[in-house]
Amino acid sequence: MLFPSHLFLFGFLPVVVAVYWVLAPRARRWWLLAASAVFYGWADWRFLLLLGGMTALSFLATTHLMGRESLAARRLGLALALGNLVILGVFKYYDLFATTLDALATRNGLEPMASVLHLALPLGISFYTFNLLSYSLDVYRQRAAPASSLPDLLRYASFFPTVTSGPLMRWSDFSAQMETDGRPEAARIEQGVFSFSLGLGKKLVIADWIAQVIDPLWANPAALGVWGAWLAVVGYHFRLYFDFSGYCDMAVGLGHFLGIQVPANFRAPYTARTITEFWHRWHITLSTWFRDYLFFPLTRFLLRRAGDRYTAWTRPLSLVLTMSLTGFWHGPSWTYLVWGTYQGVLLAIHAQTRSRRRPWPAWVGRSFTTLALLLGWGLFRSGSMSMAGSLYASMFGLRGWGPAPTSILGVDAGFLLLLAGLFILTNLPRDVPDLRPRREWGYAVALGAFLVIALLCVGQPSPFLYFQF
Amino acid sequence: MTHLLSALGEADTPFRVLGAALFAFLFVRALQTAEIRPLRSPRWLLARVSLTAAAGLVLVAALNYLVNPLGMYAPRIFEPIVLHSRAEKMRLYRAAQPPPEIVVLGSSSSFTMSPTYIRERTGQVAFNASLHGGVPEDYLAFLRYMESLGKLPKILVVPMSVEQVRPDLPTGFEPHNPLRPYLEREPRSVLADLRRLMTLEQTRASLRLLVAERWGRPPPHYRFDHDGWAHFVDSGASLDTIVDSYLATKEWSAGLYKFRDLDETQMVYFRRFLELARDLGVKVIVYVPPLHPRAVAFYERETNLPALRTQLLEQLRAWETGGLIAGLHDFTRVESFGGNASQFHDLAHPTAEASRRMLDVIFGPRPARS
Repeated sequence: MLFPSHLFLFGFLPVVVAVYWVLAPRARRWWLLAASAVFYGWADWRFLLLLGGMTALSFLATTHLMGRESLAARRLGLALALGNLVILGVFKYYDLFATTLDALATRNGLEPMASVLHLALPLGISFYTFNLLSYSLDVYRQRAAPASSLPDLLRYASFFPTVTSGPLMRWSDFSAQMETDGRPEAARIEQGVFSFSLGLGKKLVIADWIAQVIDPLWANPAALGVWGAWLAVVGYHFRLYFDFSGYCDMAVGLGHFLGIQVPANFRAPYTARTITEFWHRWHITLSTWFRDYLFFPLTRFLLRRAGDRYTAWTRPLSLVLTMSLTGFWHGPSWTYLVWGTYQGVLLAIHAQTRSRRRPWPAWVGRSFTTLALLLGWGLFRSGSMSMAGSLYASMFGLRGWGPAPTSILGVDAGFLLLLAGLFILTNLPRDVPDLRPRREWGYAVALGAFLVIALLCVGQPSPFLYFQF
Repeated sequence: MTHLLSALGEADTPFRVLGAALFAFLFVRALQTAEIRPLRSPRWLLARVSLTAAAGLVLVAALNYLVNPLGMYAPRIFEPIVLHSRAEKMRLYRAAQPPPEIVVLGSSSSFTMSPTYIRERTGQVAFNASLHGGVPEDYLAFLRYMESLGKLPKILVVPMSVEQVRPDLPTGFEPHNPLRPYLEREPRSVLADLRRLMTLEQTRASLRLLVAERWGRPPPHYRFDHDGWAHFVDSGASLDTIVDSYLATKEWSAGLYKFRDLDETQMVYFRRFLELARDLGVKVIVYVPPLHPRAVAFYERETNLPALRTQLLEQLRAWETGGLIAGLHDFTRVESFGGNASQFHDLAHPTAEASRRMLDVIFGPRPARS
């Protein structure tokens, strides 16, 4: 089930929220679990079994093994919990490795060694696996108490506002909020309506409009000139942000409807003056996940092992390794790995040089950061390295200027105005999660009208970009 | 029809601009909220937003219901904006007397197959039942319709192109599709009809229809004779310009044949159509319709068309061997039927002259006149 669908908006959501607040707190928790199961299992109930199985594995590992005194038992628990990572790896990356291995074997005159499984990627598996891993690791490090029952953990893993595309939530934040027996507050519902409406519109009105224009350009980058290639990349720059942040705003809004604070995932990322600042503002819950569970432990490990002579290299190396894996998390394609490495190298360069020079003026920093991001998006969006190479060749003029932007299908005055407007809006200092609606007539009517336009766009076939990750 | 709907689909800039402007207003105004101490309660805002949104949706739904641009609902204040080739061909076929012995089923690519010429060539009464965007499911449905009337022909001539069996092809898109009951599709849902009242597609169509009513409707691209033959209206533009403009559109550019496998659903419909025809004793002659030579060169260079055509032809030949197809002709290239590049209305619609030449090939050499 998708957020921007008639079934969700006019059926599932009103029923779930209304019944949720009518029920007693205990029944409410069961209701949320049932609603999440229906939401997640709607497309394919078998995915629900996988989600349940992986959650049960984490529950077993944390409550039966990590709770013991014995270090061996606790380590066994950790190993068991990390089994979820193996499951994720099989579903998401096995075919990539198998096809790469086969290609290498064929190139060297050998028989193909691995058979491709063609496994369907379960919706949201990257997100709920990471939620379960953070839960297990927090319990292992004794930073969080284990779940008192399997349904509690299932409720966390399958929480329908975030199960498909995040934001990632920490177990301790979620469970603490589930334990409160509050009543619905008008201010939270108001904030929920505001956040959800803006998110819905970001996705359906803005991101999908950009997609209509730029998707045909991305279909064949080799046919593009300079204008077309840069338009494709700049369009994607805005599309990705409005698509994913729109989804996250909706998730935050849904959380408000249920009295749960879902963490913000974006805080005006395109205002960043450095690549480091960008990663503090972009997909925040994923970057903090990798920071807490990979970067910090990896840096500590390298510092212990490297000795004084190599201390200066540990941080950059950790950054590159962490970001490479962050990139690879996005999908089974080598382009994501290279994109992540590219981000890691940029972060490492920034980390190594920032203390040695005076900060750049804000506009210079933003320009460089934007340029670095645009170059990275070229790689991120390309399905293969050859496609990325083809795009860069077009961007840097190896295929000439190509037709003027206004002669490209779908690029009219309205679209150019949109891009200009988005450039201004994304350079404003705050993002939707930090904003509050104004209680004025004009504002209320504008919000209602915007919601109507967004609702009219529902049903156009355009899945969220982050569903594939 | 396809082009009309796709034109509708792309004419949404005003809505999007309005939406984006409202977003900018809401975003920028909200930036200043932190400094303002709200005088009103959250319930005040919620009530007004809900009221505005509900009123807006009711207004839009009422507009779409009353204008009824796609001919889906009861009111008939205005002539729907969409074409109704299915309804029209069904009506014409029901009225056709004497009952046709040869029927051309197909898409707009076979509109110009002339029943009069077929009668001249074969001495048998013919009818052209080609439909806008006709695909194998339409063939099956129309054959069942003919059976239900008790007016079965002896021979069916049907085009079968890769484009008709591409996986992302929108089918059954005439909203008021009267052939629907002849397929095992799900029955028309009241909920779905209600849902469509509140879509951008329908709202755009309503506004376009009102504009057309006020300033005059554009002339139709073609009209049908009583035997189903279509007359294309000359647009006045040169054929080269038309072919260029087609290849520049999203629908007809390199993306058209980027898929790897033919749509299984439509292929199954086609097999079922052939089996039903066999069971009813109707011979089926299949041909792969031509494309403009420049389009063939472009698609062969830029797309997966050659492999897909081979895939299609292999399947058709297998059915021919199995006795389901009485005759098979590949007219992709104009040379195959003695045509030339000037015998097209556009990229994929051959002229009546080209169609005559194809019919000459299908029905064999013209008998020598004594």
